[in-house]
Order: sequence, then C-alpha cells, then structure tokens
Amino acid sequence: MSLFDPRRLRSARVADRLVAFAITAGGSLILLAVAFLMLFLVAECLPLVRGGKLRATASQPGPATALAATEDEYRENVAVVSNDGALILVGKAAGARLSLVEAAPPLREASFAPGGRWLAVMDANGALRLYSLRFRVRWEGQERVLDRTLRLVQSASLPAASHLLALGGESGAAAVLVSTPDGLQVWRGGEAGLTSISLALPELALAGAVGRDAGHVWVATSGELAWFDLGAATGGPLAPVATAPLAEAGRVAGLLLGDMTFLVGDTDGLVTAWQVVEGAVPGVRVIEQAARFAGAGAVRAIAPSERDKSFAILRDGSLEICNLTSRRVVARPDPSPRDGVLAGLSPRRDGLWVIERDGALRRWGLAMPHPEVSLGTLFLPVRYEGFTKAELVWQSTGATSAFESKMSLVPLIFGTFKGALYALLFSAPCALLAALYVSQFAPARVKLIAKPLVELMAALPSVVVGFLAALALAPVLQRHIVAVLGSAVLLPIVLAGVGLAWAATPVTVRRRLTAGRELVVVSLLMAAVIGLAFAVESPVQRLLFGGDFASWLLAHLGVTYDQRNAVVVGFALGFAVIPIIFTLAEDAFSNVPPSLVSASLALGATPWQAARTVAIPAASPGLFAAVMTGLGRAVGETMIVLMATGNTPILSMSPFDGMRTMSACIAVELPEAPYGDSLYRVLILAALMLFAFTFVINSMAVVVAERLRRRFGRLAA
Amino acid sequence: MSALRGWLAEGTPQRFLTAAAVVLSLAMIAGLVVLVVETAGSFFWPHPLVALRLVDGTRLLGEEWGREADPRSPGQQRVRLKLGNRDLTGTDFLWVRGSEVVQRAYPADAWLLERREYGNFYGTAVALERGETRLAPGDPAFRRTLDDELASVRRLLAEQRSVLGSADRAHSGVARLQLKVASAERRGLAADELKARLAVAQSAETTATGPLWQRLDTVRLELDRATLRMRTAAGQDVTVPLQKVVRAIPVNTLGFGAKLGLYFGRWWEFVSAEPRESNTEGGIFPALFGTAMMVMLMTLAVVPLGVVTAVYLNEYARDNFFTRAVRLALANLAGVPSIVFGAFGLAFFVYTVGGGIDRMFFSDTLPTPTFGTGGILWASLTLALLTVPVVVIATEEGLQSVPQAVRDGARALGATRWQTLRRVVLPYAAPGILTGAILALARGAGEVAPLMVTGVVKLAPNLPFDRTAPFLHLERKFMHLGFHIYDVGFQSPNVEAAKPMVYATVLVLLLLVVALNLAAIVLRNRLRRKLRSSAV
Repeated sequence: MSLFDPRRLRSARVADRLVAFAITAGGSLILLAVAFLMLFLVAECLPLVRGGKLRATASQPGPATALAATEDEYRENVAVVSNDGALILVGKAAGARLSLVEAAPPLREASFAPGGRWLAVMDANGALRLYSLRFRVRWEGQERVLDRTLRLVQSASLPAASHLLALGGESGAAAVLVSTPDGLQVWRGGEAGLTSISLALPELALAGAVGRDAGHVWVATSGELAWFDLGAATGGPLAPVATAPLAEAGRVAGLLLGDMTFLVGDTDGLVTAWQVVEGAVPGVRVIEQAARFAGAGAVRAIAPSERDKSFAILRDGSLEICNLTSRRVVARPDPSPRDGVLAGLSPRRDGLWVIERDGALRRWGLAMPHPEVSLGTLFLPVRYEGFTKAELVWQSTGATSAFESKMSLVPLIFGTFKGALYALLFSAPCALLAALYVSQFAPARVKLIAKPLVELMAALPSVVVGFLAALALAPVLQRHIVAVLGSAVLLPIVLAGVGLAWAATPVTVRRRLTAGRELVVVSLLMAAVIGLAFAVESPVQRLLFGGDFASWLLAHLGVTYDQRNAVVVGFALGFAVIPIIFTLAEDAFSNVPPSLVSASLALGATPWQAARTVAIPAASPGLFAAVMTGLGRAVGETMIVLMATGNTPILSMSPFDGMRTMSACIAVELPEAPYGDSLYRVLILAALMLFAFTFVINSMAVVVAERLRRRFGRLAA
Repeated sequence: MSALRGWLAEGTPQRFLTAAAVVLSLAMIAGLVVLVVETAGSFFWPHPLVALRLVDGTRLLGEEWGREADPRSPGQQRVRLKLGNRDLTGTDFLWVRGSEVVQRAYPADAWLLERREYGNFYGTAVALERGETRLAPGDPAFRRTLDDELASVRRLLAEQRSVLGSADRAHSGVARLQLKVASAERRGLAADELKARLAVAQSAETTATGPLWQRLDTVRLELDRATLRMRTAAGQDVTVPLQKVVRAIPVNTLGFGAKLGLYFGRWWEFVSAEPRESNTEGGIFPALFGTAMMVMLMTLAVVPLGVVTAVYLNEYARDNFFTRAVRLALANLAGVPSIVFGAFGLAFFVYTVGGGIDRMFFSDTLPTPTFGTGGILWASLTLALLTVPVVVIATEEGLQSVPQAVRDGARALGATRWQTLRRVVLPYAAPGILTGAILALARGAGEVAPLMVTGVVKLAPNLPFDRTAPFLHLERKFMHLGFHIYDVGFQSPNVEAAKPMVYATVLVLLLLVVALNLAAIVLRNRLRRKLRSSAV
C-alpha cells in the first residue's frame, strides 16, 4: 500500500478528527467536574432548608364522639376512644373494637400518655380508670400482624364533677392529672396501685401535662403557669417549684420530647413554649418563655412528636407542624382540615392524623427530614432547651434520643478563621520577607539552595507537621511559652538594632559584610537571642509571673492555657503556608523585569531603595495574591488543625485557647454521620462553604496573576 | 537624624530582617527533619538494660528512656525508665529520681524478650523447658536451642496462618450465601433455594476444612510445648510461652556487630510485619501496602485525565473564554481544600455511585453495603480528582519544552495533528508526564484528610489484594501510612509508648515523599535545561 493511498489518508484524517474531538471533550471534563462538584454539594445541602412534604390519603369514617386517639408504630390503625366505652380501630383493621373493661358509658374524658402506652378515662360518675395498651408484632408468613392488648390496671373514684386533664408515663409508672372540686390532684402509680398527691394551686386548672417519667407536672390556669416536682411530695399539698404569669388563659397543652418544654395554646391561636431554667439567683428555678408560635383560630390540640422537638398545632381552620429548635413552620397540609378536634403525629414521625368533629379520620404521610435546621439555627444564636439565652453552639451528638443537637456553624467558621489568622500572622511576614531576600538581596547560591528546600517543605505531608506540632512542639511551648514569645519580640528589635549599628560603621568595615557572610551573622545573632531568651526565661518568669506563666494568666487575666492552642496552630499551620506564600511571592518578584531594578540601581539607589520603590510596588498585586492563596490553604488545612488544636468548638479569641475548624469537624464527624441525616447535610454545607470561599480567593489570585502578566508582558517587550 | 535616615536608606536592618526570615524558614525544616531522623533512628537501636537498686530496697530493671531536671528538687536529675512487663505491673514507664538510686549496674544475664502480646519483658532467664528437657542459661546449648526453638515457632506460626487462610477461603462462599439468606429473609423474600445452596456449600466446607482443623490442632499442640522460665527484677518467677516471643536477646552482652544486626533486623520487621498490640508495636506493612496500592490506582485514573487536559490546553485550545474557564477551574481544583474533595467523594462516589452499584449488582446482600461504603477504589478516585492539577501543570511544562519547529516540521511533512502528537510531541514531553505522575504519587501518599471520610481504617483485617478470587478487592477498606500516624499518635490507648513507633512511621512516610519529590525535581530540572536549549 502506498504512503499516499487515499484510503490510508482518509483514515488518518478521520482518526485526527476523532482524537481532536476526544481531547477537547477530555479537556472540558475538568470544567464539568468542578461545576458538577459544586452543584452536587449544593444539591446535597438543599434539603436542609426545604419544608416537610405531606401526602394525603383517603379520609375514613370513625366514631362521632371521639375523646382521645393514638396511632400505632406501623401507621396501620388509629385507635379512637369513643364515649360509649370502647376503643375503636380506624384504618387497616377498620371496625375492630376493644372494650374498655368496667368503664360505664357515657365516658366524659379520655387521654393517652405520650407514646400511647397508657390510657386514662373518666366516666360521668367521676370514676377514673387507667388501662395499659400494648402492641405486639407477629408474622404470619410474609404478613405482619399487630396484636393489641388492652388491660385495666387501676381504678379510683373521684367526685362526679372532676376533670381529667392529662396523663403521662412510660413503661413502669403513669401519673394522671385531675382537677376535682377539692382541688388539683395527681394520681400516680402502676400495677401496684395508685396514690394521690394534691397540688396547691388556688386557681382553677384549665390544661396541663405530665412528664414522661411521671415525675413532674405542668399546669396552666386562666392567668398563670405552674410547675410541680412530684419527687418533692411529702404528704401535704405540694407547692409549685416555679410559677409564671400567662397573658391568655391556657386551653390546650403538651410536653415536648425530653420533658423540658411545655407548650400551651389559647383561644386566640397563640402557642407559647415554656421551660424551667436556673434563675438569676443560684439554686432557684424559674419558668421562662422560650418561643411563641402565633396563628389564627383557637388552638384545639397540640401533638408533640416522640422522635424530636417537632409538634403539630391544630387550630380552628388550620393545621401545621412546627419545630421548637428552628422556630419554624415545617409543613402545612393543603387543604387544611376545617373542624378538627383531635390531632397527632405518628410514633415514627412519618405521618399526621386529624379526627374531625363528625368522626372522620384524615391522614397524611409525612416526609420531614430536617425540621430542626434552618438558616437561623445555622448562623444565628438559638435558645436551646435549658439555655437562659440564645447562643451559638456546636454540639452535634448526644447520649439520648431526646437530645437536641445544636448545629450552629458559627463556632466552626470562627475557629477556621482564627486558626488561619494566627497562621498568617506568623507565616505572611516570614514568607514575604524571605521571598524579598532571596529574590533581591541574596547571592545566587542561596537561591539555588533555598528554593528546592522550600519546595520540599511544601511537599511535607500535613499529617507529619500536625503530629510534630501536637506531640513535640505543644509540650515544649507549654513549658517555654515565655521564652518563645520573648524571642518573637526580641529578635526583630535586636536584628534591626545591630543592623543600624552596622550601618554606622565606616565603609571599609561595612564592605566586609558580603551577602554570604550576612547570612552567617544573622544566623549567629538569632541563635544568640534565642539562647539568651531561654537562659533568662526562668528568672524572668519568677520575677514577672510568679514562677508560672499559665497560673499567672489565669489569676490576673482570667485566661486559661490549653496545651493545644492557637499559638501552636499558628506555628504549625504557618509552617505549611510559608512555602506557598514564599513560592508565589518569589515568582512575583522574579517577574518584575530586571531592567526596572537595574535602572533604579544605576540612578544611585541602594539595593534596599530599589527594592522598596521599584520591586515591591511592582510585585505588590502578586504579593497580595500570594497571601490570599496562603489564606485559602490555611482555611482548608485539615490534619494540622485536627491534631494541634483541642477541637473544642468555642468562641474565644485568646491565643491560648484551642478551636474547632470546619475542615477538622468534617473529617471527624462526617464518617460517623448517617447518610441523609441533618448532621451529614450540615457538614456537607460546611464543605460547600469552604469550597466557595477558596473558589473566590483562587479566582482572585488567577485574575491578579493574569493582569500582572499582561502589564509586564508589555514592559518586557 | 539625617544619619539615621541614611542608615535606613542603606537598608542593612531591613536586609537583616529579611535574611532572618530565610534562616528561620530553613531552620524550621532542618529542625523538623533532625527531630524525626534522630527520634526514629535511635528507637530501634538496642538500649542497654540497667538494673537499679533504690533506697527502699526496690530492684528495677529496664531501659533508660531519657533524663531531665527533677522539677521537684532543683539540681537533681530524674531518669525515665521503661520497665516493660506490662502484664505484671500495668505500667510501662517510671520516673526514678537520681537521689533514690543506691546502685546501678548493667547485668550480663539480663534478657529482653520482645513479645507478641503485652510489649517487652525484661528479666533474667531461669530455664528453657521443652517437654521433659530443661536447659539452664549456663548450659552451652542454651542459646542455640533457644534460637532453634524460636525459628520453629516462627515456622509453626506461619503454617498456622496459612492453614487459617485456607479455611477462610473455604468459608468465603458460605459467608456470602449466609449474607444473602439473611438479606432475603429481612426483605421478606423466599429463601428456600438459597438455603438449599447454603446447606450444600456448608457440607462442602466441612469436608474441605476437616483435615485443615486436624492440622491446626497438631500445630497448636506443637506451639504450646516450649516455654521460657524468667525471673523479674523483683524476684517473681514467670513462665513465658515461647510462641509469644518474637526475639529473646541478652542485650548487655551484645557486641557492636550484633547490635547493628539487631538494629536493621528491627527496621526490616517494622516495614515488613503486621502491627501488634493495637498498632503500637510490630510493623506497618499493611499501611505501606495500602498506601502503595491506593496511589497506584489513583495514578491509573489521574494520568490519562491530566494528560488529556494538558494536551487540550496546550495543543488544541484557542485563547478564548472557554479555555480561560478551564484554566480557572484547574486553578480552583488545585486550591480547594482536600477535605472538600473528601466530602464530595463520600457523597458522590460512596453514597451515590457506590449505593447505585449496590442496588443494581449486590442487592442480594443489602442492607450490608458492598461498594456503598468507603473503600480503596473510592479513596483513590477522590485523590485522583485532587491531583489532576499536579499532572496537568507538569505535563504542560513538558509540552512547552517541545520546540515549535519540531511540530511544524512534522506537519510540513504531511502528518496530521494526531500523528504529530503521538509520534513527536508526546514522546518528547514524556519526562514532563512522568514528573507529573511522580508528583501526584507524592501528593497522594501524604494526603490523609479525604481518606478519613472515604475508606481508610485503623486496622484492616485483609489487604485489598490477596489470594481469594477476584484477587483485587476494590471495595475493601485499607490502611494508610498518614492515617496510621494520626491514629496511633492520637487515638491509641498507650500514646506515650507508641510515640517512637509513630516517629518511625513518620520517617518512612517522609523518606517516601521526599524521594518521590526529589525524583520529580531532578526530572524537571533536566526538562528545563532541554527547554532552555530548545528555546535558543
């Protein structure tokens, strides 16, 4: 086949075109990858701020005289207490009835404990009966069958005009709050029997709630809130531990998971959240209002979730799901139920139900992945349960399911920039001065050694730097902090002083100080100053700080000394950043056309004057870009801060405190965070913020470099 | 005043300050390297065993691990003694004040036993027992018999490991079936056919492993036979089974040659053996292997991508907005914190891609994830993304060193662009590509943060490459040198005792990274010389 065979030429042309296409596509891949990376991270975070989704299912008829209701864990049935003395299932097993033993119809009031394990009913004669309700799962082939048992546990006879206000309790014990003509009472107990505790409250109780531990009680009257600690009962009437005035009469009440927050709703549609906290006087507890959720129409029911701090509020004409932590309305069914009387959230918080006046049951499936997160909780102070004021806290995991995770990104952002700031305080001057020396003053030999060494410094794995900072540097710094800080102050002063003195010597002496010898002199001076600082450290410490700097700090300034603190991080992170700033700054200096500096020298300027008036101004955009790039690196560095800080997310500017940065937090907590969880998404958001920040900085540096190249490109030509 | 201005104009103080910055930077690198080399280098050197008698009559035997001024009585020294015998005393270290010591000696009959559990044992040998035979240390045959026994222990342990490995391989099919049965039952599917297959596999396993278990029994019996009777400094008699002993050394009688041999032997053990005692003793071989394998997988992914991008930017792209956007993207890729890549790798590779693979191909073992959890493949892909800019920049430099005249010459002879690229430009630029690959290797070997979220573990039961089909297990978690440093240095129960080991790991990692970087620097300098000569 000839070299110029048309077929061969054609195939070469086709291959050429194919390859050109493939390479162009491959080159664009990088752009696509970066765009995709950003969009993907955004998409992973977006669900955080989205509301919940409700999906309505068909409405089902139920008993018209519903007194109380609860739903099982698998959302099969809603068990409704009807006033004719039976528990009626509505849903999958529609029509099934469990009779309430001994309860004489018509029943007047009924109440389920949170979680639905206990049921209390009161009939027209004032007889109080406590039942236990259990579900057991059984498998018939592939089919799940729920067996229910309803058992009468205890009874008590009360005056006929009594009212059942609330029921609380978990596996072992229950407590019923009743208002009788003789006053307010709690009947507490379980299988072994009920004992009564009378509560001292002058006003008529309108609503109340009993803790899940059956240990404390909240009561709302027409103008007051009161909190009783049942553990303090002695036999006589129990006085409230704390009371607080209430603007409107409380009609409906509920207690959020964790038993710390009491919700009370009035006829104007306002729901307020209250907590018992330590007051201004130590040891005295007071009731404080923590949040308010306004709405239109009288509040009919408040249904707390058994999974988190969410709750449903049923008002005349509306229904919404709110969250205490984020203070926001997370979901609202559309259209709203018109005249609901009872409402509840499913035990797994995956559903919502309402019973309307005519007994119809309406149900929704609920998908609400992140109710406790909002932009406000991420970036603004939040008053968490048990806090006396709004604070910025990062505390993502707790021991119990009732724990309220506190995910404010502010302490992490603060820690990130604190670490970066201390790193730059050390590294920026050091690297810029070094670059100036190497590019303008140093003999070529020094440059040949220094540049590759600095390159190696950049290649050092950060895990090595972090390890040495934490386990070698931090203990030394702790013992010799005075000497180190002292040298940091003394070194520039001594060097400048000696330099001035040297300048005052006759020219013949000065000439002897060649560039190479200069380095030796400086090294010796530095060694001498540092040696001196360490030698006089302990007498100085005894003289000024009473022998121990750390205890002096604590006693006189109230500052604690953490072993792994911002100074250590400044050094270690600075070590990692120096090569970056140095290399870029040195490039910026080298890119200044030598002709400019030479012209300045030829006109009689000293090397320093040439550097100050020509090289530095010309290179200044590049120097700025170098420092910015260094900042970008310091902000994103992970291993060093992870190892050399104590990883405590605190807001303290003190150089002797540690910090927790976004990067370290991601590295530590992301592997443990369940996929799709709020913590997972918040950490991805932190990663996105790091990305966005460095993106801005790097783009700026690229633009600056481009502009410099164009400016000096013209000059060089 | 004007004199002062003149001196300032002269600039000596300023120059001193700038010079000081250079000295400080270089001193920091030098200090770091010296610290690491000194600590790690001296760790494996045999320390003499010192016997101390204290004022209160206590007798101690151990290695001296540094001394410092006693903080409680000025002018006095105190000595940090490594006492070993952790199983007896519970502590590894003890500070002994100089004033308490009545007598110190370096007894010739002191023995160091490096054990497979509980760290070192220090004491005097009483007898070597094997069945009925009993040799005293004075016996001329003692040393030789001990060495023979230790060698046979090593042989038997290797055999035990290989038998257990065979049993594991025989069991792997059954384990997979069990997982499938459990998954099917959890999801409410019919599992009868699976159960039947499981029963068949189980009976096959029983017949296959029967002889293995018999062999294992004899090996274990054999291992249990030899013991060493030792006496601690306090006079307590202890029986140490020989199978727990790695080395038995009469340290104080060693000559220089023997010490040197021991030193290098310990280094070799360090880089070739499995870790012991929750990573604080033994070797780092799995971490070395994991690191090497991860960076190699990463290179496979990153080099083609990086080279194509560089070729596009340097040979095909025109200077337009799109090209500038690609360059901007590249600069950002280089500047984005590595942990962001980790987060992306976890969210995208592990959960999205890996989870998708699991749903499609491994649904019969769900919810136990196969690819939907961190693993070596995802870790190396994440790092590949991170190191693309390194390869691109180095390759571009290589491409720029190709003289334009060479390209023009090829095109003038009628070659297409692709032919020019393949036959002329790429071979010419090969050192640049190689430099990029090496630099990427170095970067990948030292990077830890993204790995922490994408699949590195403190102790991996299996290497990602072994004798079980399909030999290369891309879904497995792995160990990594950098993470090993973090984990042992910060998370291990006995940080103080493990510190020298971590320094040794640091030294190995540093040597690796520095060697790779030096290779890249040398290559690049050669390339730049070529660039300069071609520019003329």
